[in-house]
Amino acid sequence: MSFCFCRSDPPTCVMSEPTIQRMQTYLCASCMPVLACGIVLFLLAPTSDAREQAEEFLKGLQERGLHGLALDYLLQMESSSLTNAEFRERIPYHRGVTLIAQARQTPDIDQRATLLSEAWRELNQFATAQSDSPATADALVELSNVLVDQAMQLLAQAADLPDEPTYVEQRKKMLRKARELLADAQPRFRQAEQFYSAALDRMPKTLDPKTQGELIAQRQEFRARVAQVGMLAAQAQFEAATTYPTDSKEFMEQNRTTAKILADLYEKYSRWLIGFHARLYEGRCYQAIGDYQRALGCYEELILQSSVHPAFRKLIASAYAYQAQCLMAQNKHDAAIANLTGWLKAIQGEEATMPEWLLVRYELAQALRTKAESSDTKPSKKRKLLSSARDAYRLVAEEPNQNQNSARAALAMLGSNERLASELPRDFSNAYSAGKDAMTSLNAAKMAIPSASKNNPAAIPQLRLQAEQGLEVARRNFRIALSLAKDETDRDQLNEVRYFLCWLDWEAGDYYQAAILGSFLAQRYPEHPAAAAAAKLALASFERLQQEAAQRSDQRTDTEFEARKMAELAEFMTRRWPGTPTAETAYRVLVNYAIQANRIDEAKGLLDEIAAASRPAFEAQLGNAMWGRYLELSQQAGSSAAELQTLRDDSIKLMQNGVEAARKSRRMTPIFATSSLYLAQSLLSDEKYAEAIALLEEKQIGPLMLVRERHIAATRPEYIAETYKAALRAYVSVSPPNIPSAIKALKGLETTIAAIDEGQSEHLMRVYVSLAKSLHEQLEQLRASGRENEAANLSLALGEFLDRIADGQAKGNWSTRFWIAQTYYSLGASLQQEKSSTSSIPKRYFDKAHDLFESLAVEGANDPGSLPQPAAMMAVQKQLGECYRELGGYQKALDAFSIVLAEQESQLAVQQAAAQTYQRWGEASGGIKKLERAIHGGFQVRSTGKNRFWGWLKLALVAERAARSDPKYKDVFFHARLEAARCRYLIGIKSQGEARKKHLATAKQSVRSMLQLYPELGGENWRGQFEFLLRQIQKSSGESPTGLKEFSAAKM
Amino acid sequence: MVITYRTWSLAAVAVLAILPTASLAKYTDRLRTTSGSEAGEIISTTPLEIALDKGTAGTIKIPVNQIRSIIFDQEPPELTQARLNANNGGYVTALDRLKQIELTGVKRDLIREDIEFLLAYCAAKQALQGTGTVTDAGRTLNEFVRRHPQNFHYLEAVETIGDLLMASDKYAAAQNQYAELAKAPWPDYKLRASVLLGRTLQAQGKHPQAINVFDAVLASSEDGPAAKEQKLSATLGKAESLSETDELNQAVGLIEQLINDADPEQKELQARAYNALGDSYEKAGRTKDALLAYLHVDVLYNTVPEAHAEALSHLATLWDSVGQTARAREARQTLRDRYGDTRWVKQE
Repeated sequence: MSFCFCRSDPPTCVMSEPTIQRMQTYLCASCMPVLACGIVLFLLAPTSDAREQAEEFLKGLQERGLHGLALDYLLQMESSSLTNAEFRERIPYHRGVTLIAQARQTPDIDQRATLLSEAWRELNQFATAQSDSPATADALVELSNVLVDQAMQLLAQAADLPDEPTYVEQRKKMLRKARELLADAQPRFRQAEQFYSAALDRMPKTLDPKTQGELIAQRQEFRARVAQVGMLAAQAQFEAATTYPTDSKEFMEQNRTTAKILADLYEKYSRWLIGFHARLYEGRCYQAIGDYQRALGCYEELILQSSVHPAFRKLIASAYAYQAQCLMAQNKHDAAIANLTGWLKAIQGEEATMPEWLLVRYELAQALRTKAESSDTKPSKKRKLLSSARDAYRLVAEEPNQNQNSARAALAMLGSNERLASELPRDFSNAYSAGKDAMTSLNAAKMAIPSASKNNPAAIPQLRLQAEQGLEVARRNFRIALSLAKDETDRDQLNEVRYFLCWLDWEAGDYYQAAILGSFLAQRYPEHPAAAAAAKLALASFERLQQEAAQRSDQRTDTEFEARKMAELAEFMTRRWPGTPTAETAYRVLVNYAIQANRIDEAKGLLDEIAAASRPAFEAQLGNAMWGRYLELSQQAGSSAAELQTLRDDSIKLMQNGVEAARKSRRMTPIFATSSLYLAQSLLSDEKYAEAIALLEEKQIGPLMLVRERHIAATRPEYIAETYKAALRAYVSVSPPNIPSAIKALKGLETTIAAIDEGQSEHLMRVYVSLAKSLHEQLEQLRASGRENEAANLSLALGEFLDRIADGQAKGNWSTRFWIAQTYYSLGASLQQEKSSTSSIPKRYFDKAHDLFESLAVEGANDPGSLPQPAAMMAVQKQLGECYRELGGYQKALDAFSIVLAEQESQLAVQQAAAQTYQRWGEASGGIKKLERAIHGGFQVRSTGKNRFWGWLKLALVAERAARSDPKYKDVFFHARLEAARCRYLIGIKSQGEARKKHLATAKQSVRSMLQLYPELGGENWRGQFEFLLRQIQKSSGESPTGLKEFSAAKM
Repeated sequence: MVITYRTWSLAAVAVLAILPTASLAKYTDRLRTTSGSEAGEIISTTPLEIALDKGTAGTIKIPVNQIRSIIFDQEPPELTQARLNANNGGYVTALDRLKQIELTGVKRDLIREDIEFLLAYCAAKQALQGTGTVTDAGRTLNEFVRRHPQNFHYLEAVETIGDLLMASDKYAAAQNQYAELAKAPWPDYKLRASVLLGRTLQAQGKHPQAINVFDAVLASSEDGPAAKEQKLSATLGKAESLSETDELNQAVGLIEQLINDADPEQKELQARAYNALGDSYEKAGRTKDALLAYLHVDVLYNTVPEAHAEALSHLATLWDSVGQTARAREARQTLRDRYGDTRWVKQE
């Protein structure tokens, strides 16, 4: 399952980055028209209804914060007949603006940076293409805003770095980058300003209000734009000053210069709100350089203004907050407290939760706390002040604002109300309140931990303790509340308690309880506002229970209960909240459940229930799951080929739909990224290497591109490793092979696996072995289908690839070197099998393999610590022995095998290799004696009197016994018996006269005995080989080569 | 307290000055009924109704089946508290509070009778849970019925005596007691009597007959809220019997339907239903389903003591069987701490 519910609906939610909000705040604080789409519309020439409708619709989506939908809509409009060319031309602009808005809503820093970069690209594209369009100026402003946003993000990150020497350089780098971005914004602001000024100049100086109302309004807009762009540029300059150390000359200079610019703006626009906005920032410049008198002068001028207009009141609130900061800096706490308290008493309407008022309250809390902590404050007064500070911090901590985290941290440090932790409530209402207070304390501590880990690590244990206590006290009190509920207790409040308890149980890991409470609330009180969230929590709880059950047992049946409960709940959710994100979540569960239960048709049917816009994601998910199942089934014996093909085809189709949607929307998610990778893998298995490469490298959706761009959808190390594996295979296999890219992919693979785990060598080895196996299989298939040329090309390409990666690997990764050596060996063996092969290439590969294995063996002997594991030395010796054998060094080969078998006599593969070596030696030059050793074994060990090398007959005996408990040894058995008979045949043909007859008869008898004992002769493969050998024996005996028919004719 | 005409009239004038419509009755007893509340002096009672003098507004008669609770004027505060405790299943606390009352200070017979009834009733309920002897509790309650045949608690006492007899395996005697309930003029009481009869049959293992009785209740045309409650009880009884006769799927279906149909805040019924569901699942070998069913009682309906104790005793075993030994220990501990004297602990 790829969804996580706990993030979606906690009782308190984490809001987006404070800096972004700050930026938004100062961008929108003015009551002047903001640079939103609405104004852009106004500036543009009148156009058709279709376009206006599109603009209106888009604006509506943006105003509702539906940025994802807005982007989808823009995508549709690119090719839609519902709008005209003019609108289509502006699509990059709209997309850029939407992406900025989306970035501002995104809490994830990396994702935000990606969105802003995308926005930059779109706007730049528009500004370049439409240089003479009136909307260009707007695009320029938006481009500047992106730069400012990015700079603000960096400033916030730099501020979050701990105050330790280690981070000094990092901070400097971030600040430098922020400064550069802010400087980059300036020429664009100026350009936009010039654009608007020129537009103003072009307008007639006198206009008639009766007939030219529209032009008058337009002129007003341009004037407003000029003022605002000037203000934005000055603000960016103000922020740039903060990138210098506060005691530096540059800091002082920049603030003084900016203050002057802002003073000019104030003079110029003193009758406009923006003029006062400039005045506020002018004060901030003075405040920054410690010129409190002048700063206070600016703030007081604002404070003394009439406080009727809501936008003006915001400015005044800000002025109060900054005034308090100046007063506090001068130790005038009482004055700060009095001013702030007075302003807060005059709160109107919804102002209490607005950012400016929250800033005021935060400053009040700070002032109260500072006063309380002052040494001349009496203890009785201190308690009261701290209590008031706590109350103020709590209000700030409850709302999203730039100081929310600081308020939470402060609240956590001041501690929660301990009385509540010790007293047991006596009625529902008290228990409810006590539970909520404890939950606030828990949330405050939880929110404070991340910033404490950067700025105050010593406070973390206490914060954790507070969080734990808060959790337990909250749970206890809410449980008491439930037990104290009466018939007359308000059901909404009762259910609120159930929801909180559900969430707390989830937090505490009591998933059974959370599942029960969540399901109960969702199903019995679906109208309750928290019902959908409770359902999600219940669903997530069952999912956790399923994971726990799966960990406890490898039996699939042990997780069926949880899966069934999830499906039941999900079904309910789809019925109760159709067309909502809750239902989408539920459908995902149902699709998964259907897949798990192998009800693919049902899963497919469920796709129709999903809204068309969300369907591609589900199609991709289902396609991915079906592909996984296809791979699983294709490994199992007895799977129907036709069914497998259908499963494969359906899976590919669904994944293609998903990838196509991602291609169109240019929005990649981990699910689509997985589909894209699976599709590439499917192309590889269809030997469509060029197509696979095209997909892997495709811009925006290609797995390799996603990995290289560090796209958020492709960050899982496993994904990256699989992508590099696919790329490696594709580059090596394509005709002609692309060796430089293959080497690049290989390096990427090594780096990725090194980052995955400490046992990287083993992991890398597994990857290489599987890659070698797959390439080997590919070679075999090519040969089997008679495509000798392609096979030869692939072998040569592989060889060249190996040569390239072997360079510089003298002291490289052990696993890589082992794999290279092994692959050289396999290549040599593969080329040697070719009937027509007379070239020296196989020997060259065996030589290379030998050299590499030998260097590994020497290194291992000199420094056992260089081995990934002790057993690796045995693998090296075995491989070394095989190289010697292929190169004709039979005695050396046997010596190498002897080293291994001295350690572990029962290594069947090594015993096989040793018997094979005797056999090959006998065939080549060693004569009958070596062939007899191949059959009966050799190298008698003095201490035991037994042969170290068993020979084929003993091998057969041991394998036959082993096969009784594990069928995999059957092949070893039949192979050993076949080779024993073959050796006898070889002895026969090397002998003369009676001896020849006798050995050939014995060889035939061996085959006959096997047929008597095992009529199937171990299956088609072995039977074919026995048949072939028997025909050779018959031929050499001067008989008709009838094969096994001879024995059936004789009616055995 | 003796009030002379003069003192009464002065008091009355004083009160009237504040509450012009106040009663002229000697006492102001407060009754909570199914349709609201009434205040006045209870001047007489029978097993079926209470006569309430509302002063100038006259006397009204309130049927017993419409009374939810009564608070007598001048009753000791311990009695008020004990009544609440008993309603919430806190019989031990209720008995403790009742024993603190100085009976010599209680002048009104009705209050004395109420204390007497609550003492007997709480002892009986405790005995049914396994604390104290059923015989002693039955004797006390019988004595109450014998001495106060006109008390409005009569039918409640009769039903409880029936329960005690059933707990002593005296099914015929229990059925006789329940038959008394059926004599009441209200349809829901007749249905209640049938449900109880069904339970006696269940206790004897006569499940097919019990199912017939429950079916008869379910077939009744009565449709008021009280009748509906009895029908839900009959559904539950039927499901329990089906479960005993290995008709597990049908039983589970009925119980699930019942859980969905009943008000989720009908704690007693829901708790019993979830326990019955857990029982059916256990019989069907569906351990995790059973665990989840019993856990509903532990999490949502743990204020129903008898059902909670039963659920905990099952949970202790079920947690073990899913490998959650710590939770099993916790369930056992809670069972011992909260329901130490009940049969569920003794069965452990």
